[in-house]
Amino acid sequence: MNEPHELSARLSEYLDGELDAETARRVDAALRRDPELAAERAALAEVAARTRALPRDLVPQRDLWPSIRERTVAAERREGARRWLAAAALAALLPGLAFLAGRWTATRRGAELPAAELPAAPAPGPTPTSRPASAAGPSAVDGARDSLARASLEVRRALEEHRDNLPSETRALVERNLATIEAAIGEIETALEQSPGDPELERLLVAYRERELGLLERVTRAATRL
Amino acid sequence: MEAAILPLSSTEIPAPGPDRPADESLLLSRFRESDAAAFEALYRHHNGRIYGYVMRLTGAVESAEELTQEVFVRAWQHRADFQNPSHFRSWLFRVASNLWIGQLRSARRRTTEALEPEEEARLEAPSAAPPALGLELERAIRRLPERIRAVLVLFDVYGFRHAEIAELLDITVSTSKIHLHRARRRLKEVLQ
Repeated sequence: MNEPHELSARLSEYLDGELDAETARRVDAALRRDPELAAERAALAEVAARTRALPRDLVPQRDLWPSIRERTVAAERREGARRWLAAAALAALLPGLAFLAGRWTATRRGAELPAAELPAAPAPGPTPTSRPASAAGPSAVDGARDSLARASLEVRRALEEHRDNLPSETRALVERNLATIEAAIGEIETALEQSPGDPELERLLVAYRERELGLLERVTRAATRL
Repeated sequence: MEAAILPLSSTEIPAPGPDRPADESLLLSRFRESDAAAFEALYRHHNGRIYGYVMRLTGAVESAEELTQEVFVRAWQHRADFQNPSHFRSWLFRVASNLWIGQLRSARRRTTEALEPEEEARLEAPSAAPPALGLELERAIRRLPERIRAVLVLFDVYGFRHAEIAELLDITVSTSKIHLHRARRRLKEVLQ
């Protein structure tokens, strides 16, 4: 081991009182017998002293407070908008999700849910009363469902143009909520394949399409205002 | 939507001083309650230190101003978290260090793309220097490699211990000690 080199590398720790007692004694002894090491110690001590004498506070060339204040106010506004959108999205989802959970549970138990519990859906157009909706061919419910799907697509396109106006957290929240609605729609459509023309499922599907469209419209309006 | 910020009432806030921890505790308490006057008082008390730190890290007025602003904007966003003045001060330095490290990484990614000539010139141009006292030393510090410069500034200028520096810069205590020694040796060679 090259002791002078090793001890030289520890000089800063020696100066700062960071060495254990044994190593500090070795450095003391080396400093007494090695004038070059002693000179280096003195030079490092001077550098440390000069650096410690530098002012801790430096004054910015301009007052930064107005800009900081402006940025915090803007951040508060964005946070408020995010909370409002989150609440709106949740309010749109909760009743439908609760109904869906109840619907599947009732279906598995073989029970019927009262019509009053179904989310409001557009009334189907004139339909022969003697036939179930599915047997009448493309129904007014199908028409409403398709119209809503097309409308949602158009609003999505409009939102896409302005989505960068939304804070990233808000965008993520909206996308998650839309994904949840789409997942619910997917499940209803799957159920409709197994029970084609089921009026309750069709009305539920229309209701979810309406919720999706409503959320998209609200988010798009907010994004174009920001 | 109502803003969560109370109106300014600076006459109610006592002027803080470095040796008046009780006042800063009061300020922090009001700061946690979204008192804008308390926020400004805390900013006035700490901004010189944070600006001094980031100015020595970046060597550029524009970067130092931007980092300083961002540190205090984030402090406002996390105002509910601060329990005591010591924690607040450490937090400010930690955020400043993280933002600076992030800036370094971005700068390194950007240097893989070609810089416009005027951007290169701005990077190389001498920036505004701190006050005249210790000017030669400040310039020498600014020329140190970034990581060892940060350790030197935190240890010798701001009095942080190696364990604290290790946490701030995400390095080991051993590395902090080595960096400090290297920084002092380089300054010794430049200044003698």
